[in-house]
Amino acid sequence: MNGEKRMDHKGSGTSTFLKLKGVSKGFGSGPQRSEILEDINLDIREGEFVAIVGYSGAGKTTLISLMAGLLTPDKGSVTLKGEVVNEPSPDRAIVFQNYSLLPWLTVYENVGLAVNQLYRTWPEAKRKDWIEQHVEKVNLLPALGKRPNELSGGMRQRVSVARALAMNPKILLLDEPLSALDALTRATLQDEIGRIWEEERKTVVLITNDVDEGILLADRIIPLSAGPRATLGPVVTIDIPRPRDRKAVNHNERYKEIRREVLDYLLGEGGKKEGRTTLTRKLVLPDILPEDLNRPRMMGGRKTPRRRSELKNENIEVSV
Amino acid sequence: MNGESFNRFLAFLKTVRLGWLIPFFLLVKGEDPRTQLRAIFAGVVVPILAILVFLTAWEISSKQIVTKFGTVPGPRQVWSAWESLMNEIRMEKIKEADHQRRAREKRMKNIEKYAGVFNELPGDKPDFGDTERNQKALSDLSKTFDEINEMLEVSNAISGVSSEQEAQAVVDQFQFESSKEIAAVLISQLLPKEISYRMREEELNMGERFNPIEGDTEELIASKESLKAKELKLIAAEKADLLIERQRLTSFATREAIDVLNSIPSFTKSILGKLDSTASKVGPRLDGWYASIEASEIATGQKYPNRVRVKMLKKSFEYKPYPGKDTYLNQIATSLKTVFFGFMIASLVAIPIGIVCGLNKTVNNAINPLIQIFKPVSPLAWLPIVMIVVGALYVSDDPMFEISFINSAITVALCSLWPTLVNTAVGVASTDKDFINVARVLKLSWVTKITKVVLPASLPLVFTGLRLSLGVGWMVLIAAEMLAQNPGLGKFVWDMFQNGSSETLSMIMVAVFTIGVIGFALDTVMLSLQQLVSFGEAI
Ligand SMILES: Nc1ncnc2c1ncn2[C@@H]1O[C@H](COP(=O)(O)OP(=O)(O)OP(=O)(O)O)[C@@H](O)[C@H]1O
Ligand SMILES: [Mg+2]
Repeated sequence: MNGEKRMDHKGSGTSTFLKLKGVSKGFGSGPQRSEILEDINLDIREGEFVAIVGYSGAGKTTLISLMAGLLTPDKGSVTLKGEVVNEPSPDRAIVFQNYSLLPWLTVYENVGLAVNQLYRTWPEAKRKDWIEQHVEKVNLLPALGKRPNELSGGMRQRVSVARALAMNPKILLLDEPLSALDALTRATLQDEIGRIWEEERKTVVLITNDVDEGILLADRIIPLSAGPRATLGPVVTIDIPRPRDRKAVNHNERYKEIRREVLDYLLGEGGKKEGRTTLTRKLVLPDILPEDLNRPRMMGGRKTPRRRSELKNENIEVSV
Repeated sequence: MNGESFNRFLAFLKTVRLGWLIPFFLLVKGEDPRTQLRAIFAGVVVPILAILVFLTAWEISSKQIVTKFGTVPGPRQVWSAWESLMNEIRMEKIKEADHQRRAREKRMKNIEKYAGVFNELPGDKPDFGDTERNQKALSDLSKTFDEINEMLEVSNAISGVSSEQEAQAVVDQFQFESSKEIAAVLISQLLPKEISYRMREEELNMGERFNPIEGDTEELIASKESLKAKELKLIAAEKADLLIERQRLTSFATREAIDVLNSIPSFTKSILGKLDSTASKVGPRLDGWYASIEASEIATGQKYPNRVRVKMLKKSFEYKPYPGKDTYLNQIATSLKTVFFGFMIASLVAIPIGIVCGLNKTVNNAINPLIQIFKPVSPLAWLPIVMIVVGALYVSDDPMFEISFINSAITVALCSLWPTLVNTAVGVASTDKDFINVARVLKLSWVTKITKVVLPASLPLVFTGLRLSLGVGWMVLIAAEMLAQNPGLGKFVWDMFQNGSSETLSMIMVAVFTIGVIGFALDTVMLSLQQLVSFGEAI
């Protein structure tokens, strides 16, 4: 039912659900002041899946925090269905970049914390069902009684998703949910997120640093330019029919086109700041001191600590 | 045990400071013996060697220092002092049992003596069971105590004799086998030493050997004098050894006596127990009866003929606790009670304030200077203030707690509050911002936010604070008890210091070790708790 509604919106493209208008945000004051986001304009329709890709440190978390109401914009406005967003609410569930599961609670209790808070009026049994239903949705029923430190990164992220889904939000905000995972787990979870979205047809904003991930999952993909003063680039509509198969899509011409379009912006106009972009990389130089084999090794002998001088920064200038 | 739970078990050992046991387990599991043996050497043998070196150095150096109470006690004397404290506890146990026995006997005698009156007790007739069996149990018990008393007398009886034959004559008068056995041990192990010591002492006192006689050259006199000095030193050492030995054998005798006490057959015990429980029910009835007699005498003006007898009966049924003296264990218990009470007050005050400080920067800024000023104040400065204030506020005819207890506990609280306060504040303030964001998105209420998010997140630091606090509290307690005269370890040290006997120093040293061991144990418990609340993150 929800799905049909979405198709309507997509068809007509009229009613705006979440709207960001001329949003700017900076931190600090005086000489420490840094402008992070500038003049962000974005319309998201109900039931739509939008991906935002951008550089690390560009301000993606800041952007999604503004949508969630965890931050308030310095300029401009964020509105949901015409109402100004100025405080967080369970209507806008957010999956945090680093899971943010409470380590002292089990999987069940972590999801339960949200459910018990939001559905206080429900009878106990119904809440229990609801929790288990959502944990099942992310295939984690066997881990129901485990604490986060007993789970792998991928499992933690799934719990985080389950917690957000259990809140039955109007909009689901995903802040780089998969970027801390290895490539294989990442692919699995991408499929899982795709599947869940097909089932639930919620409005989703996915923040990612992976263009392919965005194209695979979203209806529209929007690049965020490099900071400071990051802003959104041109919207690219992903008109590749669903379900999208990871392997097949790679040979899809349209897919390649979209990919090029987004990357062009990110590497070109959206990456350029004051003519150049500088990437800073930490380099660890090998320890060139020969080891003294005559020196007795301590028990459980460890390598002598790396000297500070072994850590070097390398600046790579990218000019386009 | 599978691998995972075995590893968890090893981790647990480490947290409760039993990490040195790990190589033993690994060895049993069949892991590389060389590595494990080396770990055992490092973790077990080395510390034991260090302790032995310490004890030796102590033993040697202690002999060199002479105080007004004699030489500084070595490890053996301190151990002996500990034995004498433990012995005292055993003696008290025996005395208490004897006290009970006598009260019971008197009660039973009175029941017999006033049987006629007892039959008039209103209500159901109390059932004490079979009289003959009771009598038998009572007389068995009294025989047991005869035996115990004789066993405890042995040491005294023998200490005056001057030869083995004389001692044997004394022993022959003993009734019980067990006394004779103890006497045999004493005669073989202690008597020779006592006799030799006494002879040596006498010889020295008669002093013929070392006294100058006519015709002695000056040289000879000098050498005689130095010989005498040497002899004196030897005698002192011998005396110290003799005291240790005597203590050891006294303890041996009391332990045997306790064994006899514990070996009372269980059917005798159950008969006696039944007597006691019936008596404890009859007691209040007698009280009520006597009260009603008195009331009716006043009301009617008629004298109840058996009033005095009822009174005597009633008296013998009253519960009279054994008026024993505080043993060392009681003192330790008092100290622990005091420190926990103080620690609880401190925690109840510090944790809430800490939470508020951690949540609110303004409050933190307001309170911080006060914390910094009061934190370094010594218990010795707090105590007089506490004593005066508590003295003024805590006035009650029948106080629930001794005032010295309150004084010590509050002083402990005042000194141990700060680490918990500071750590709680830091813990709350440094709660992961993402956790707070979770709470914000869920719109958790203030209370839920604190109980479900903020407090659990800061629990590891809170427990660090609590652990430091308990450590400070225990350290402070001894000083506080000394001055407040709270009957715990502090007062024990003070009393020992005050009554200056040859045992003073060794007793105080026993207290030092006790305080150290208990402090270490408390710290280990807190460390384990701290580890429990850290959810797998190592501290
Ligand atoms: N509360 C804050 N106070 C000051 N500066 C901040 C704050 N939050 C973020 N910033 C700064 O804003 C910039 C963007 O941060 P943000 O976390 O939004 O980046 P991001 O795109 O999410 O990066 P990443 O890919 O690493 O998650 C960074 O330079 C960061 O230092
Ligand atoms: Mg981010």
